[in-house]
Amino acid sequence: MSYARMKFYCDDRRCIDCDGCSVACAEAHELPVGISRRKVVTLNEGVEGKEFSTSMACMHCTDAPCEQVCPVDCFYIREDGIVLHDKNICIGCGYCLYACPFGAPQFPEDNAFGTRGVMDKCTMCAGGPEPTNSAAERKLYGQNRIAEGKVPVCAAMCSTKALLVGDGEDVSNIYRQRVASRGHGVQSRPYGWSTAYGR
Amino acid sequence: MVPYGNAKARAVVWTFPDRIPIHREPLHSPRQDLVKEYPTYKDKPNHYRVDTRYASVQDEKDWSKEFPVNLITGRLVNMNGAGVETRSSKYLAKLSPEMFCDINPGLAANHGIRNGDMMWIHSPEGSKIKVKAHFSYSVTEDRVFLPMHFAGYFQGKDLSANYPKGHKPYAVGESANTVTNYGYDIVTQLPETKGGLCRIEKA
Repeated sequence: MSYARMKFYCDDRRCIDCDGCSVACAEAHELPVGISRRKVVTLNEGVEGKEFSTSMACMHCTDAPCEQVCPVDCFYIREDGIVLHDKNICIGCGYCLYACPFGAPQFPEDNAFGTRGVMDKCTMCAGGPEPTNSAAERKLYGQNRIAEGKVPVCAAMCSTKALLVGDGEDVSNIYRQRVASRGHGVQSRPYGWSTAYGR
Repeated sequence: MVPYGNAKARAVVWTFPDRIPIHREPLHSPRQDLVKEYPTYKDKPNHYRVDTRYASVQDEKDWSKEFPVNLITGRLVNMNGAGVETRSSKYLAKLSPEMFCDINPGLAANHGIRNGDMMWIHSPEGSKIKVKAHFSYSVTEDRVFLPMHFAGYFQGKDLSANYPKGHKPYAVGESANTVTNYGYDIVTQLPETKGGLCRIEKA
């Protein structure tokens, strides 16, 4: 028997760089402007056939480097694979930022001298260690949509269904089906209606 | 024009100067050969009470000698209209916090402009704006692109203090319309904001 492992995947053949995911995230969790839990990155902008965009946030690694380097052990990994941390334990040292290959950990800058506060990152809309859907959890970590059986807000908002989230196996099946129906590699034809809404 | 396919005329409008749409070069065109082939209209006096110039502007001189770069304006995905609402939203303003100009690195190199440098854009109307250069291959070497959503600066001067107290948007910048060229639609008198010329220089 295998257990679900929650994973994000952004299909760069579908992402249209609309930033709907990052704005939805910031709005849903009422983040300060300096915090970017999710970012859309475009590479090779304007280079025909090579341009692609993808949406990046915490990838909720199986063997999370942030968890391994944390000197105060504030990280914990849920049974479904979501990597979370306890803001009341975090000391804001920034080790996790150096360890993270995706630049996911975010640090609020409190004042003119740039002293950093405790780390903030994508929770896959699963809140934190505080009681589920409590005011304290909401204030520190934002919405807990997973507890309500909802899809994380970024993927729910994605207009082209480029951003997928769920059990790694399901995500992989959806992507496999897409690749089988349209091929794999860099963009060779314009993104169109049939790609978005066809099979 | 072929009478079938996507470009076929959908209707004949007998009250319009062109009963079906035909191509006419912009008043400020980079192509003199096309101006001869596809000239614009004759000047129209009393066009909704305004004497509006067409041919006299187009034929005045070869504008592209002095203003060699095509100027196009357009929208950004996170902005709406003149941007008053969207530039006042902190999350949307964060995505494009300042006015910029998309410029091909090849064109920029000819003018000694580096990515992130400030640059001047001069228009045939005598106006100019100071914007930040943003390298992009999405524009070719003969043109620059300006987003149309910004306001608050005028010809390099910060006027954002004139916003009513507490109403200054998070993102302010030069308005692209400061440098769009003269030209109006023959039917609706809408201004020409998409087909113009400009001259660029490092600020």
